[in-house]
Amino acid sequence: MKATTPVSIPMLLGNATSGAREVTVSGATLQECLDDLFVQYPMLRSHVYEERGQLRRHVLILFNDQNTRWLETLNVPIKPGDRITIMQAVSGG
Amino acid sequence: MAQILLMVGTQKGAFMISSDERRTTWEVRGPLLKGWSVFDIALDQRGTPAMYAGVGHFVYGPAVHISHDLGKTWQQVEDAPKYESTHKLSNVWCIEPGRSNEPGVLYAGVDEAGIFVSRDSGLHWEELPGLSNHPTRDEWSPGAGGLCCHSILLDPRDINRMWVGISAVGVFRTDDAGKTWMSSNDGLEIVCAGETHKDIGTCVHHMVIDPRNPDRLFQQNHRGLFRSLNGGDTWERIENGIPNNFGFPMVMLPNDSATLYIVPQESDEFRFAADGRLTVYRTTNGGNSWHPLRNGLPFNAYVGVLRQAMAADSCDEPGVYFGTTGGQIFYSRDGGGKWEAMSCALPRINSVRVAVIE
Repeated sequence: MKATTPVSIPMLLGNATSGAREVTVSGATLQECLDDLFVQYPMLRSHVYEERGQLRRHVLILFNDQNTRWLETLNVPIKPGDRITIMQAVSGG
Repeated sequence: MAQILLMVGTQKGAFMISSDERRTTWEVRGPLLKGWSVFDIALDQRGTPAMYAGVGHFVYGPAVHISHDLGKTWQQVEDAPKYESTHKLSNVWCIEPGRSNEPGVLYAGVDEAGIFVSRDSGLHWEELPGLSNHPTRDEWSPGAGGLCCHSILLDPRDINRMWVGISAVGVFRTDDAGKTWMSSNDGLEIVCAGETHKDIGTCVHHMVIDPRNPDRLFQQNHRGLFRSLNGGDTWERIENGIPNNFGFPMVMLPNDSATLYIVPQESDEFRFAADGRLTVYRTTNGGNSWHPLRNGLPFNAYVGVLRQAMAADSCDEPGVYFGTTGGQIFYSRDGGGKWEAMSCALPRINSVRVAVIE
């Protein structure tokens, strides 16, 4: 059975999730969870990724405490208790 | 009694500011779309009123939102403007409801410069690629505000004719509903010419059209004030009375095509009111001469007024409104004779539009 994983959504993107600050996704891997996220909430995709599919420069996707930008692969198995967080990268005052 | 509704787009959200037609007391509602930089808010009154907001954010990119209750609630558009080519869409700069005989049609000007059309009241948008893939496109360079298509003018007589203004590139006209576009910059000063295309590189800041005679176009340009009497085929300078020919906004009174307003700024280096003396200039003769209006406007006002941050209503005693980069709104209830400051301090103001709602 696929795990259910919580995803934290920044307040600014609440329009894309009917106001929800946290949603749940299903998937056996991190990649499957992200795929499910953008199937459930397609308007999120354009705010997280550029038109050509790259992660937007100032967007962070955290898998627990890890910045997914530095992961070699998103095919990471999901365990109970895992969490995904989408947030704005703060790079200066 | 009619309601006067100001739709104000700021760097951190939208504000709806309303009054009755006396325009003496104002109610401020917002921020709506909180945190988003709202570039333009258009009210489509051709049927059941619908409001459209073009927004952007430096982290999360652009979006279009629709409201069917005059801005109280908003829904994001899923199939918003999006380039299928290699161009990158950074912001939605302006949204223009179509003509009265094309219900449901809207146009959007974007950065990187291009134009999109919706034929179903904003639910789906498609690019008109003849502009964004124009033969001169490789030589387009962005201005300080980006490579933005900020002005869209529709010819009310001819569904196939419209004009766009692109900063640091120039004016283009289509006579085939957006399939092809021709440069309309003859008479404008070149700021940065293309390497091979010498007819681009003018810097239009804002354009308006005379709805009663759509061959008459006006523009505030980086290098002056211009008028065309032949649909953009040629332009002539109209700067009689203007101390500084740099500026951004320009509006025409809805009920009087001879009366227009601008807010000059010191220069492109400084981009605020010269000597801090915020001054509106008005022409009442179609641009032949301009005269200052500053009764009630502050001294020590080192602010600018952005290209879409000025509007005029259709009341018998016309209301004129503008917002500043410092977040103030000033308005006149008598066509500019006397100005008042609205009691609010908003984020940097990107756009101001006004509607009279019966």
